[in-house]
Amino acid sequence: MLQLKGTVISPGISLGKAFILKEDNKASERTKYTIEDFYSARNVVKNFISTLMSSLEIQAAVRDILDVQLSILDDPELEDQVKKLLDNGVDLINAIHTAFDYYVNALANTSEYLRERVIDIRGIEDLLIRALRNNLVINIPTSNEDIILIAKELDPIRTIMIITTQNIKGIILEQGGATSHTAILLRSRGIPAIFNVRGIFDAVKNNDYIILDAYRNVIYVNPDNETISKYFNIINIINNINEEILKEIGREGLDINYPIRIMANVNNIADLELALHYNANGVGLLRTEFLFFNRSYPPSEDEQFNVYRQYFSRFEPKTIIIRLLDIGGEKIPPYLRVPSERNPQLGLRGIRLLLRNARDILISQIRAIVRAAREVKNTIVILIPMVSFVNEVLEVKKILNNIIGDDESLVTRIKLGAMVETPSAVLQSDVLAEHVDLLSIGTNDLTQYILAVDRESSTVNDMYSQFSPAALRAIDIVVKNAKKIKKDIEIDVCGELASEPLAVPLLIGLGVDAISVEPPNLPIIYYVLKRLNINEARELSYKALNLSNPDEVIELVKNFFIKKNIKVPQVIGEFV
Amino acid sequence: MSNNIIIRVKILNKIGLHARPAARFSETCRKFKSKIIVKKNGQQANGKSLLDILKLNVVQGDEIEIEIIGEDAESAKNAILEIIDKINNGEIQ
Repeated sequence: MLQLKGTVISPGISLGKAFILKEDNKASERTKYTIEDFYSARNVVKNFISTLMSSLEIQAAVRDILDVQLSILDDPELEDQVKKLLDNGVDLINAIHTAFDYYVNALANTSEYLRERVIDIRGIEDLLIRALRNNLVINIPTSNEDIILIAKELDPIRTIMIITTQNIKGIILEQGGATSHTAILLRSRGIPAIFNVRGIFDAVKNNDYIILDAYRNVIYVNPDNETISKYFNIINIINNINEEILKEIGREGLDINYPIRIMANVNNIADLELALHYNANGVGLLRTEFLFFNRSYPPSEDEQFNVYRQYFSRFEPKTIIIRLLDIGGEKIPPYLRVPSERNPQLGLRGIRLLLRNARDILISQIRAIVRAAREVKNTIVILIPMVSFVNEVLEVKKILNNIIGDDESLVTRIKLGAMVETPSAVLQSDVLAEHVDLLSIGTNDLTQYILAVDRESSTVNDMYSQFSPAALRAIDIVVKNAKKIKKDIEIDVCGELASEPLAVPLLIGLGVDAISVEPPNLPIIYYVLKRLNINEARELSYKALNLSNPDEVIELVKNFFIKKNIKVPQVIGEFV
Repeated sequence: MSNNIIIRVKILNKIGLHARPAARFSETCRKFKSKIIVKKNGQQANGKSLLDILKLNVVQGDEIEIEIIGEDAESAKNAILEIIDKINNGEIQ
């Protein structure tokens, strides 16, 4: 059973047989086409798109995409170039390719945004050629079997053709951009999709059985029976919930106003787009590690600035909580000097590493964030990872204040936050609160340190549970202590617990202000939230704090959900 | 009688002269006989060509110069100013 992963573009689960969409051969042809053939192909494509537009219960986003493509079709410069090439003896197919190549190359050298529009333009080119060859329709097997479509790339028009085919249940692309129109289309139609799956064509052939799990970012090729039956059990629950959510809140996203704010964890641009699609209240944890890995030297301040600005402005004007580089443990880029340690989990990691061995990186990162913040309207919170001493916060604060200077407009818009993921940060949360605007409880590491259990350990990892009453008590202590000292301090929870549907009533009950959720889980968290009230949640969390072990906490919440008729996948841990 | 009009405008909307704003702009230009040239930083584009305009990569805050040459330059100017207004107001997204 082969497993692959990529970038989750549109969350969901689907099962079906692989159908590989072949690339067309672009070799030139002998047939003599004239400019009249170009005009008639153009008309055919125009009619085709118009029919597509009227045949779909079409959303605004889709209409906009087609709208722009129609405009490209009528482009006078494009027509001029094709004509000139024909006059010079080039055959029509090559003339079309050459004219499109010219624009595609020009656009590829501009911005990220335009690079991702290239596929739209290529889509029109593809359609023109197909129209010339009388080959406009994609032949998708029309059996009753569910199909997972696999392709190298997909342009929006072919995507529309594909998603109107009933038996296409999911899409896997070898390439594909997170902000492409194709991605937007699939998300808005709720069709599960994973892009950037390297090696997909080596791993899969037609008719292989595929499980596309676009929640956990796994693709199973020819899975064993046990895996299939596990998915059969949960797929109905998941799909029912999704249906219900879509009915309640529509496909275009959510508009919510709950006692706590729902933010999103963001690792890359695909996460950001998904968070935007689901209308998250902000980015609760923007991880910056992606900028620092897989390279032999650290990114420059300018490079960081450009990326941060892009992320901030895409989410304007909502709050973004950006975490300083959080490295430690096993994976360390070559330019960071970290001696190997007997116990790296308790060693040089997070802010310790930045302050002791990488001050230049720390300063350049804060400078880049402040510069980017200056260009946008968001509130930006700089989050310090792995705080275990109050001094660490004071040192970062000094650096930050030096960089901001006396720029009044920034003082109110750039805030400081500390991660609470060590027992010392829990116990000193009141002291920390004096110095920061926000505390973000990272439950993954906090649970490990509170329980003194290494979750990677093969002998004790079964003892690791974020539903441990001790871990919940830690959250309770942080909220009570910090709010006592500073009433308006914001307390967030990030980490896996925040993405877990069963934890939602507990976290609300404990009085946190916001939770930061993995983007694919946003709908299910909204679904749970809509069915809770704050008093019940308080009562439930109070009970949970006084239980003995994690299983009892889980049982308590499960029974509560059954009583309230809240249907979530009952496979705890399977579905974070 | 041929007219020659030059206007300078600043693009204020978030995505700049891309996607639908660019499509609407070029379609507006196509309605007129006049030659319409859009210039940014020494580069120029045919105002009637969406692809040409995209190539200029006009982003929020950019100033562009639009030169309109032809009999119907005056009415083209008015139509262009109107569409730029709509783009800048965010009416076309």
